[in-house]
Amino acid sequence: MLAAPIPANDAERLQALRELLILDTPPEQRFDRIVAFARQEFEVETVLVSLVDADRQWFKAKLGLDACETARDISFCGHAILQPEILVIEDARADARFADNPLVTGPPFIRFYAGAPLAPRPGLRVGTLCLLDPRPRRLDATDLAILGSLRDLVQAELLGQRPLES
Amino acid sequence: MPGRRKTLMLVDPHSLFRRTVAMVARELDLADIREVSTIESAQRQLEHEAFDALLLDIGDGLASLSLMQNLRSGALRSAADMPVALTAEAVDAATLALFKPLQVQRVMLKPFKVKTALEVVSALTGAADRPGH
Repeated sequence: MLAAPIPANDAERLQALRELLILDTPPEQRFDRIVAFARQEFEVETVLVSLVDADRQWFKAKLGLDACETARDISFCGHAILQPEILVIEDARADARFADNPLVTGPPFIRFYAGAPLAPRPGLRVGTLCLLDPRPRRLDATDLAILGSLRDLVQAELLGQRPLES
Repeated sequence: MPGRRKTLMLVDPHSLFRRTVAMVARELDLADIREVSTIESAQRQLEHEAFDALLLDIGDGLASLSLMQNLRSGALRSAADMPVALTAEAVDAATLALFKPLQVQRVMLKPFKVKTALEVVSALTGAADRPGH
């Protein structure tokens, strides 16, 4: 297993995360409904709004998972925040970075992962909107565009822009 | 103008659905979507502006039926033969019969996926026939 690498700008990234004043806050309907919408759209077992803190990933919104956080070094999202594009792992058992990850070999037995990075400021990716499933999956261009748009809505909510008010 | 992106009015009370369809349609170059949350607002906007296609939630059926009749009679700014698809939480045979003479291309029962809605947007606007799609 490749432990989630620490990006060179991690201190600045963590500062951006903490400035959001969202870590360890209660669940909020504005995030929960996007997660529920994504779960229905993609028919996956788990959808998370995951924020990558110094030593953990903490879930602001979650469906399909009981844990409220996991260690950063075993997190898929710790890898996803290394790049601006959506990270897709079609089958974690076939990927050397994740094949023996305890989240793959044990509960929740992740096979498929897609994480769209959340960047409240350019280059500072604080977490992801991510999809997890115990079955291998593929996403086509339309799926990626839908996930990216839902990520943009989560990101706007993180920044207090309230994009979904009618 | 050949190749221009078509405009589609999306009338639906569900803001997350509307927003997602509009954002993805723009990103995939399918259509420019005007989001409208009520049939009353749609009626007002259609009186002043033309669109190339309409995806309309029929709600309780009566207001949307009136809007469709206005459209097909040429009383609105859009072409009277503008392509239209309907969405509904539920619809009975009697209501469907009212819409049948109004040249509706498709009726979609909720819940359906954003991906399905995008396929309908593409069909209504002809995006699927454009190069690159």
